[in-house]
Amino acid sequence: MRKYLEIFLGILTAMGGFVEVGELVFSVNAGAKFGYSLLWIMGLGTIGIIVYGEMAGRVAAVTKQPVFHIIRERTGFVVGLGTLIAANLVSLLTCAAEIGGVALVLKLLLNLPYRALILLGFLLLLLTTWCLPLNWIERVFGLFGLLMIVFIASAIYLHPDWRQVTINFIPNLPQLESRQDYFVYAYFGVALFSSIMLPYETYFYASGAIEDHWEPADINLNRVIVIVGFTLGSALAVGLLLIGAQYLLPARIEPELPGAAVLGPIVTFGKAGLFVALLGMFFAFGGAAIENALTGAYNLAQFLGWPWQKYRKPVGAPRFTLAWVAMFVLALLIIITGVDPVQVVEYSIVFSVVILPLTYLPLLMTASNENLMGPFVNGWFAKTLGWFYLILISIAALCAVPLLIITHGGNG
Amino acid sequence: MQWIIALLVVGGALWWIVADTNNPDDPGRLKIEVASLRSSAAEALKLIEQIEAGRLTNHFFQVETSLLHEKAGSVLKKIRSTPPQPGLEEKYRQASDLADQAEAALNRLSAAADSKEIRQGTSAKLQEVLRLAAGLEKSLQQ
Repeated sequence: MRKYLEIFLGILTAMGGFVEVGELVFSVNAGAKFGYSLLWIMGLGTIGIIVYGEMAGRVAAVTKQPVFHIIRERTGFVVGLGTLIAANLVSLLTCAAEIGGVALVLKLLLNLPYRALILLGFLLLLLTTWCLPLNWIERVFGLFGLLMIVFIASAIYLHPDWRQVTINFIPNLPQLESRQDYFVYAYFGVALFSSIMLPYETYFYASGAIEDHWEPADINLNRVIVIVGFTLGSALAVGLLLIGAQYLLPARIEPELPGAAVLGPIVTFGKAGLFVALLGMFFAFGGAAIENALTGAYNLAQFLGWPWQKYRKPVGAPRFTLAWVAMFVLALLIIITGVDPVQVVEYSIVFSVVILPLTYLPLLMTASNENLMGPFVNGWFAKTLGWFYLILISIAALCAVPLLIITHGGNG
Repeated sequence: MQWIIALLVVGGALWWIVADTNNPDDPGRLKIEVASLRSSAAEALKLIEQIEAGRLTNHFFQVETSLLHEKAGSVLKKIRSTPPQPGLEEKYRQASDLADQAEAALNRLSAAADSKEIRQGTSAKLQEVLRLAAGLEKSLQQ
């Protein structure tokens, strides 16, 4: 019974933790700009994160090695250090944007000055991370993040054309007006793909597996959680895209604020929809801020060989604790300057594509190494999918920054 | 030392990219600013529609419209602080006027969220901004 409860909670937390402020803005905007036509990227990205999430969990269960330990072992100190700096920079920017997102949601709920709400959000998140054990952080933020399901309900209520929705899960290129529009389409494709395959998700997932003392016997549990949890999480992102396509596109709204996404639940469920959506966003963004702060500390501690588990008391792993507190404080310093959190997360998502190959290649190599993995080594199917996605990720990594420049940050 | 130089170069490049993508000094970028005004006006109109239907709290309406007002204000500032490219002076003037009108309308809306008369009066103004912005956006695309 306990096992089933664990699976259920694992699935719900994977689902609830899937959407953060960047995913929200990119998904709604993708629908508002291109209708259903980018749905296939969501399908593609979801399979990709399942492939690499499963690999990260399996490697952690079998070798007890977290991702950054593997990166350092496989790529050497210099390349590993470069990846660490880039990964932590992306996590820091994402954490800053999520704190800003939390403050924006609090502003929509409480209407206090934005900077005061940034401080309030920062303190809430810091105290929660300090006081709660990891599994409770995952459960509280993952489960309450499930309130975001209101976006799926709203998308269904808006009566999308299901035939078109299904067709657009097949790779396609829509008819657009100009060459620049095709570049913007490509930019959104890369950004959506990246927002689903954000590297911190695998770092955090593998670290959590080690914290929970997973064994090889837990590999099937890992598969179920990853496949079902990430698929349902992706359904949330699909719901957001459908709201963009069904409601915002005809109204000529291209949302630049998270509040615009709430229009979907407002139209369908009125004030109740508004509150449920805002609460869901608060927990989804807050959870992502905590995950990114902890991920930065996990990465650093694993790379340098410090004691790092969150289940230890702060004095039991002082450098690890100091690292995640520092991540929060630096993120606060960035966002309190008044930079737009949505813009910060957009840049961090696009730049994170560049480090994806450096994260996923060592993971693929380790999961395919029979000496390390024994009977749990990658089979032909996992290996083929792993290489296929690595090629896709590398192409996306090469295109990301040029597309960012050509499309003026995806604006046109 | 090499690491510091590499970090400075990467940091400088990122700074340039971010600054460059935000600078409205060509027709493509001016179009982005006008599109932002069009989108803000369209969102404000939807918010008015929803509050009139009783589906929205005054509080949410006031905060969201004040955020839209801030956005329109930053677009206005960007357009006014950028010297127009030769041949595009008229488009810049139109965009600046539109930003001015959108900023004023959204300011009025956020300051009087609970007044039905002001909401209805502003709605007409925002529809006008939406129409003009869509036209200007199209002409900048050509």
